[in-house]
Amino acid sequence: MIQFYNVTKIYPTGVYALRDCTAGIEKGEFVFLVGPSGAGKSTFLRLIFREELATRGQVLVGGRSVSRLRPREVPLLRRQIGVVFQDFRLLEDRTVYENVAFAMQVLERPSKEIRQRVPRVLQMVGLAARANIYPQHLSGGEQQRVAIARAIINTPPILVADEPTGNLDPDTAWDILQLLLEINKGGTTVIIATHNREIVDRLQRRVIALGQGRILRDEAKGVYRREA
Amino acid sequence: MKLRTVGYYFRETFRSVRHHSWMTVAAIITVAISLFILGIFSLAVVNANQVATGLVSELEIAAFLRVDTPPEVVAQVGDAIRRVPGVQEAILVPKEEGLQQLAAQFGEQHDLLQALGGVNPLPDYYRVKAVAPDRVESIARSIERINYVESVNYGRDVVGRLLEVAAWVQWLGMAAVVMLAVAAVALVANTIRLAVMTRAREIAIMKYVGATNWFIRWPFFLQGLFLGLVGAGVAVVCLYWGYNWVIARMQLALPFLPLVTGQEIVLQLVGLLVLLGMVVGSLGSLISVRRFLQV
Repeated sequence: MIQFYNVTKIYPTGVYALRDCTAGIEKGEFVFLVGPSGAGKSTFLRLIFREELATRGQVLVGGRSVSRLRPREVPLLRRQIGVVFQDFRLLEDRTVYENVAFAMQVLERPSKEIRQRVPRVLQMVGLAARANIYPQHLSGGEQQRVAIARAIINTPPILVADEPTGNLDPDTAWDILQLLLEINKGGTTVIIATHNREIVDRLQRRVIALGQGRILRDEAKGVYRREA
Repeated sequence: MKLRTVGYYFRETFRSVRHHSWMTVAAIITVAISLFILGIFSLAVVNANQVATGLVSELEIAAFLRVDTPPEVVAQVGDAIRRVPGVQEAILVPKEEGLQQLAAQFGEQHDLLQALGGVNPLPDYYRVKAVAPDRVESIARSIERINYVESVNYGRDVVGRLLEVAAWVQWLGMAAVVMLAVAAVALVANTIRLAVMTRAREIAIMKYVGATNWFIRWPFFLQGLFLGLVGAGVAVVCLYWGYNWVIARMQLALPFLPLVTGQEIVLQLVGLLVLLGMVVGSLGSLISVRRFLQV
């Protein structure tokens, strides 16, 4: 589903974010990207949904090189990938329902389909009762659920989350992880960048550990271990 | 673009206009002022040309014959003048008529002819009209070479200067119009940029979700178009009233000036200004959105 071939990313400032990274993620996998701040986790994710382009090497999503996409094909790539951020990035002037529906409107889905699908997904993330509330009146965990609902509303085959639990207390973080696991069970490939050690260790899923831009470990049932 | 999203575009446009009502008004006013000044210049150019060509076309060439020209030759000279290319008409003014005109200028109490000792010293002359003002000079030169033509007088300086001024006003107007158009584009771009910036979050999310660039662009494009159109509308209304007001007073004060009257010219300007308003508005919005789409 996603392949990195000898990917190096140097930002215009001269910072090496990734150095010669090679990794493959199969369809339906659930992967943790771990490592300290500045290890390259966010860059890894940004290369997938093509917010950044690799300086050297190739990133393939669905068998296609993202750097070779024509500008008009980029939106089509992004429709394959749902994105969740640490800071939620919700629209403050729209309700929960509208925030989620927005992602469908933007893809010009029929309004009948939107009316049917949004409540179903809100139900799934446990926010059916909060549909008409504005984000600022929600807790952090609830806001992240809205963000996740928005990311999966168009049923992308890949879900990418950058520190989705970074702003949340441990219990809430765990709930969010449960939700992401559930989404993964539905067949969605899920990639989570995190430094939440407890969750990673508890779940024992695949772990790709990054340090100073290099892949240090890639283990099928990994833990978040501080590198020696 | 799908039909069902057209409604969405208009809703978004309206939302943005309402949200930034103050900036919207400011942008509309700037577009209106720019187009208004553009309109004033266009009207000035049109009128300057009209007045210039009006005055020029009334300029005649006076071809004076030698005093000793035999009476039977006078008509032949007239025919020769009429054969010069570009001559519209040539009317003979006999020396007797010339004397009468001169006498009229001196007043009735003088018997001019008597004062001159019974001899009319004036020559016969032809009043020659050219088909076009820019032909006057070459015609005058050709007439000079005809036999029995003593001298030619055609107000060389007046013609030249008027044409020069007309051309100058035109260039000045064009330069002003270009500068104002650039300023208007920049101002609209700035307004739209504010609208884009306050919606940067929304745009970023749209991009993450996979909206096409044109989907993101359309509402801003429409907003720019709206600014341009309303601005043009305001400018046209102001021009129409203002111009009619000025013309009405000018015609009282300077009735001999062949000014272009309101209805015809302003109606012609409407199309130009509206088109320009739309171009300015949409160009401004495209410029400002472009940078935000480069992800």
